[in-house]
Amino acid sequence: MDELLPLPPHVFEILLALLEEDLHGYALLQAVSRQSRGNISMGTSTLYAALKRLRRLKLIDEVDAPSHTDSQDVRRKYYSITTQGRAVAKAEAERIRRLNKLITSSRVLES
Amino acid sequence: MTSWFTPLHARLLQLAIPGLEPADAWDAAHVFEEVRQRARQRSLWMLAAAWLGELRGLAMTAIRERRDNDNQSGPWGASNTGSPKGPRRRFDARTAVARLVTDLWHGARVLARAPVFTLVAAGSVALALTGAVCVFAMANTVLWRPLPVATDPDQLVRVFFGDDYGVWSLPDTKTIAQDAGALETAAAFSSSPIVLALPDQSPRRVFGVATVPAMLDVLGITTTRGRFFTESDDDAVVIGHGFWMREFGGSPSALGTRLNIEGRTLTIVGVMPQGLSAIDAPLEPAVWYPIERQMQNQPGTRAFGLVARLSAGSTVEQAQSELSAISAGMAEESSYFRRRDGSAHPIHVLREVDARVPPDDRTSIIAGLGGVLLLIGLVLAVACTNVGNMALARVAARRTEIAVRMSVGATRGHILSLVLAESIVLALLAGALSVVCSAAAFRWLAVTQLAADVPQGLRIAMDGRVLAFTALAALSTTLVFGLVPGLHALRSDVRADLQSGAVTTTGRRSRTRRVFIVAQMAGSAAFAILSLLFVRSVIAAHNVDLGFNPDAVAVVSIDMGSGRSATDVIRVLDERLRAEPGVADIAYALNVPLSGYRMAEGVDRVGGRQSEEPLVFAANRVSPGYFSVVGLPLTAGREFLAADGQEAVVINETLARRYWPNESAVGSTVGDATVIGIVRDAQLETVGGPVRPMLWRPFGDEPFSRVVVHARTAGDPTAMAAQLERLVASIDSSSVVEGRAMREAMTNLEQTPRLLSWSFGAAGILSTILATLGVYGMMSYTVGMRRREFGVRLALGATRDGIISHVVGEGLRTVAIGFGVGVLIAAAVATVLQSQLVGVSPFDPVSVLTCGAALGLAAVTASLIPAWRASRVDPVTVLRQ
Repeated sequence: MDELLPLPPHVFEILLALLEEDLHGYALLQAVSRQSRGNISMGTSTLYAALKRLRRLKLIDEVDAPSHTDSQDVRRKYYSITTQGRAVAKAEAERIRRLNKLITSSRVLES
Repeated sequence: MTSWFTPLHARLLQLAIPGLEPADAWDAAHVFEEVRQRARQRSLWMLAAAWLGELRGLAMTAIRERRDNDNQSGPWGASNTGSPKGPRRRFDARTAVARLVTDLWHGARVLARAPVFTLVAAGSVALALTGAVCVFAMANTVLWRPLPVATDPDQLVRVFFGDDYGVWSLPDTKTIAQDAGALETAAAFSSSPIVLALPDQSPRRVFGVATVPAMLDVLGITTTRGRFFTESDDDAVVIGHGFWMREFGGSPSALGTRLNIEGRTLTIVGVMPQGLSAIDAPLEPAVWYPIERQMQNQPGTRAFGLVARLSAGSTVEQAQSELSAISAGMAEESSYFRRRDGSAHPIHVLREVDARVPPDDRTSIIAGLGGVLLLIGLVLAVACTNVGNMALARVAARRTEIAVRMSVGATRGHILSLVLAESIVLALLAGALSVVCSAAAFRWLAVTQLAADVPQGLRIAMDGRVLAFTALAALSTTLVFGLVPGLHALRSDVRADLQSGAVTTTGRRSRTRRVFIVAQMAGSAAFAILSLLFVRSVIAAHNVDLGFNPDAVAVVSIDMGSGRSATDVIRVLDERLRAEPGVADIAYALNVPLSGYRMAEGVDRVGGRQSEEPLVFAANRVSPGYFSVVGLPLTAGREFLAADGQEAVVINETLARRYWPNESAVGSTVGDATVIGIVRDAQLETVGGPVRPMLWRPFGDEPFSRVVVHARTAGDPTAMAAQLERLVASIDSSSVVEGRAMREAMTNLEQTPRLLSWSFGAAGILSTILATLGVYGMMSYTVGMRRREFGVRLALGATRDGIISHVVGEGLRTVAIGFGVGVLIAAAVATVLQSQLVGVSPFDPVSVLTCGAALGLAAVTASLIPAWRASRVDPVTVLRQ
């Protein structure tokens, strides 16, 4: 798993978004833009290139549309995070937390 | 709700991301569709930002994914493994613009360092662009540009009579103007070339519009000076702005001047606004004058167009249905408005913009213009290969610089924009140049009399649409040719390029250059061969047997403007002309052979046999003695005599052979006339083409607008022409008189081939220079790359002469391929233009060989310096590096 780290920022954001709920492409774009407060805005090409890789690495999976969605959403592809995906996201989060601690203890942000 | 872009987008995504499933690509394309819809709901800016972001993302992903596939570096690709660029920044418009400006500035500086080459490259692109812009501007003026009137050009309509969009008689137009409520006002007009004379000046041909006072209201304009004529004015005239400027220097004293139009003396009362063209032609009229009073009540004369302004709130459809009702009413009153089967002739109402070309021809006209544009586009492409070549050479020379930039963090996008910036600067330069050139061309066209019988004042406007076209054409062509080197720059291998030895083989790059050179050589060869063909055609035209003898004949054309009986004109002149010293014989005709003027005549029966459909023959009207003056020999029968009237006709051998293959045609009939003579077949209409059946009749009482004096002389025909021109002008002061040697007047014989040889020659010389520079550039580049190889060869015992011939041979090979392609192109074009070639085959070996030798010489010259440089390589120095 370590060879996957560090995750590119947009990949990490996609995994974080999928931790909450299963999402389709457009919702993913919005979720990533929302949770990064607009710092990461992807084009569809970037998103789908990332989704392709994530699926090949078995970190996410394609699922049926959730039952509550309206008819228009049925034809869309939904993505859900796999157990392995959760583990990778967790590892990345821990790596960042370690970095955070390091940053706090160093004085890089002072003055 | 799927838009046209979605399938294309899906395909692009698949191209950008190797291995992306089609279903996923569709899904992604639909996601973007949703992004677009949301963005559009918020603002147009958001929409533009979404498009830009998506396209940029596509390009960047394509680059990144390709690189990852090449390098196989880690699960997330190279983008995250030690790339010095760090986390992706958000797209910031201000930074992007700033960078673009920096890049453009940099590009301009780089180009300024090679001013000659820049000017040649930009100049050649600009030349081809100017052609394209002129054609487009003409199409724009004719097809799309609204008339420059003050109020609502949309409300202007043209009203046509009958199935073939015909003209009206004056009383009819009055009925329509009064009865149609959907039309606010309507005005009849008739525009045509007329003969005009200012006081104390010789008459000339100008473009004039005869119309009614309502015209001013229909156009919704006011005169710049003075007033328009009114119902009570019979002898008032309003002049065009251009005419006012040319003839009166814009002086107010022009008002009140009297001038003569077609035998009427009129007084100038006003000046029309600047830039106003006629309703049915892109020409600025010199005069707007009232329709003659006696014309006004003749119901039979259908000679007037009708232009009208829709009343407020009315639509074209309303006007159309209203006028159809009026037409039905008119049909009941007069047979004039009934078809043969009793139904009413239809009336057509068309928006003015749509009415300029016949609706049925519109598509074919646009297609024709498209074809011309495509041809010019090919020339443009040849010119652009130079830009591409130059950019490629620069990229090659700057490999180290680019590698350094990349190693210190320049993104691929940045490198691409750096390389493209040069092309953009060049495009801007070429675009600006071509706008200046075409503006100058339009100005020249506006004041130049292209030929004696074409009035001046052609009005082609430069507007936003033309500028947009220019910008688009310049940018797209140069960008396409700049993109190839740009992508080459991205492919560079940073590490290898940083090692300054730089002996890496760059096979691909020089192959692209070679293709460029081949294309360019093909273009220059084609142009050069075509030019030579037409030069030889001009020379051959002097020696070709025309079947008649135009040498030692002077012609003087007398342009009478309004129709007058030629017999009257001849009667006045004949005695004086014959008395001139040096004149051996005099005859008159309507048209000069091979002058572009042609007349055709329909006949319904030949030899007494009624024909199903009218037979159309080439025709001319001639006076007694004509055939002996122009040296057209008769094979049977006799010439016209003064006593012959319309019952006599002379025909050519082709016509005689067609209807009387086995007997003599003399004595038989053509139409109502009896054949009195047969003339040997001669090249009277085209040179080298088939001879068409033709007939000659004597002048009768029918009115003609011109007649041409033919004078055989023992001396110099040009001097004789000038002498007779002065004499005729002194006798007939109301006509436009022009004298020339007969050969000069036969424009089809020489002028067209000469014009073609000049234009092909200019393009040929220009592109040969460019191609020679290209060959030189390519050879010195490859020689530079292969210094080490030459060093090794020399060290192993190759002679310096051997190296020189090796390098020169390589240059020659490239040129030879291009030349071969060029020969094929030239042959294809020449076959199409064969009718313009006199006495030369389209596959003329002399032209091909001459051109081949010239290009070969150019290629040798261009490769000689690099070859010499290659032979001077010092093996010891090179091998030590």
